[in-house]
Amino acid sequence: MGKVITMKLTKKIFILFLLSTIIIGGSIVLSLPITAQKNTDDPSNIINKYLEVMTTGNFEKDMAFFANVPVGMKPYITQTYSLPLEEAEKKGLVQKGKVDYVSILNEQRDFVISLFGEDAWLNTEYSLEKVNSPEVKEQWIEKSTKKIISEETGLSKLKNYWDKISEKEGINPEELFSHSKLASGKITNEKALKLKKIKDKYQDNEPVELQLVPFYELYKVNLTFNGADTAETGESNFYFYISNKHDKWSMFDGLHWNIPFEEPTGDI
Amino acid sequence: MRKIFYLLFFSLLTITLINIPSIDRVEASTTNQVIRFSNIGGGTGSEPYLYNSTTVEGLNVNGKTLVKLTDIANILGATIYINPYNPSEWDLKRNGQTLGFFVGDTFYYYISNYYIIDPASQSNDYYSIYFNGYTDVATQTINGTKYVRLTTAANQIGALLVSWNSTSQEARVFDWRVNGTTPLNDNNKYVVGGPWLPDWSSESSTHLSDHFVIGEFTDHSSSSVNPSYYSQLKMSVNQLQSIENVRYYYNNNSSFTPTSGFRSWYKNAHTSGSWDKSFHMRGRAWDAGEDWLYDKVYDEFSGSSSKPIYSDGGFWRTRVTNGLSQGYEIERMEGKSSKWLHLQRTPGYDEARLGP
Repeated sequence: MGKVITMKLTKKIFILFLLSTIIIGGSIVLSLPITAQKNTDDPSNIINKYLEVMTTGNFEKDMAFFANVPVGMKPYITQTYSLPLEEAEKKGLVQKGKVDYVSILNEQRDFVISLFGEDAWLNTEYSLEKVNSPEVKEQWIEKSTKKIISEETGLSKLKNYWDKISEKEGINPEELFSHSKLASGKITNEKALKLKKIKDKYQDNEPVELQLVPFYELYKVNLTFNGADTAETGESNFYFYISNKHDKWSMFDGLHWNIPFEEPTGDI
Repeated sequence: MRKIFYLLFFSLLTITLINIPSIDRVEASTTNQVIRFSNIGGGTGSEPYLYNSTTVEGLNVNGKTLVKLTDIANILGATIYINPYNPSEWDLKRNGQTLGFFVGDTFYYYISNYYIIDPASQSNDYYSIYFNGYTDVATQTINGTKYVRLTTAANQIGALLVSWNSTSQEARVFDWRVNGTTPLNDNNKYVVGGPWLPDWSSESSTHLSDHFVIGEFTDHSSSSVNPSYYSQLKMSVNQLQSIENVRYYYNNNSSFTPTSGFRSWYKNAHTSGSWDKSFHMRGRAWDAGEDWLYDKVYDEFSGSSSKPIYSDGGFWRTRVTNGLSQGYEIERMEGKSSKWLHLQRTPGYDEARLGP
């Protein structure tokens, strides 16, 4: 009897051990590639891959490379379709279509060839320009010490500051931040004018501020084709973006360029 | 013994779950949406050409596009201010304007505070232009991130146009300060409004300065042609000061009506002879049709010379500092059958060919 119980227990232990191993092992396997790429991934890999894809033009085959990435500019802009966002939303048009990646990438490829020659994609050089990420996070700073503080501390210090100002000026602090309906136009109300002047006088000296800080790396990859960065027709500054937003270097935004600038003759 | 192993198993399971990368959990009706911010590259199509654009990830909640408060502030050169007496109020501040949103609420308000120097008394007249309204999606926190309605935030803080590009499936915000991921500077203060505000048409008689009202500077499109932007307004306070000065010094302190103030993208695209990056679309130019006003400002710009400075882009640039009009550039009118005064202030054409 005792032997049977021991065997049952051993079996349960074995199953538990097996399950734990599978879960832990799986978790490690899933996390390994991310960690490895984070440490060893080189931005040049993704740039070279992009140039290779653009050179060969096998976009159907390499579609995974562009998955979920904004495709960049369409060369023949008059063929794009646009309307005010709110109208599109009301008509239910938003997110109802699909981006024709292959067609646009082919157009981009051919456009560069038409401007810089048949071998343009084979004779491409690039330079990297580090830029701030467009997406940022909030960070509260104590101005005098440059110390990072919590939002709670920041708001508390801000409130203390305006409480003291209000006491000194003999006003109700909440009136300074009131958003009740005001009459538009010239300020004729003496109290409203006084509150405005107090806020103008003291707001630059607030002890804390809310800053916006980048949280991933972004590179603008500037391209030249056959040694030129500007086409004879004036198109210039060809570039795309790569980032490590998702823990490894990947495409962030497709090919862009500046269209030729035309000097105006006036401004009616 | 068995208890120990169960304990070990659940401990390991807990540790494993903690270590699995966190997955954002969002509402079922929510999908990601690419939002592209771009400067105005010109053209005459249904939206401007892209210029120095950048993208962020927004959300589509029940068919409406929301943007992170941090992202729109960062790219458009605004700051975020949290009301210390009501932390559920999130303000976007840019160019002398405050646009306040409230968490869990559709209500928002807008204030632009500024002053105009009265040319007659040389005293400061203080103005406060206030509007409020309701968005169609509440301001909210999703997965700990602050989101606001894209159209309301971008339109009311002074973007030129917010569009949907079906070819790229992108929501697009066109604004003069966009410069990739680092916005251009603009020291002007503005007043902004448009048909997205409730009762906007009834605001047309609101004074922006002593002698000029909102309706004199708004876009003059027909609502049937341009339902989203037909009476859009963006006007710099400097321009308001100049028009008051010109009225007082060069029009015998008598009334005149500007023939053109702000122009929407659509209106400008359909205005024959207009520049596709017009200062009218930046809120930094107004026109007045009278010949003598042009001649007087031209004379002021000439100073002690026979002509003002010949400037690129079809403009005359002033030779004097602190001229009475405070203008910097006027459009050249040589060879034109009738003259009108098109006045701009600094930064002028050379400094702001593609900027605010």
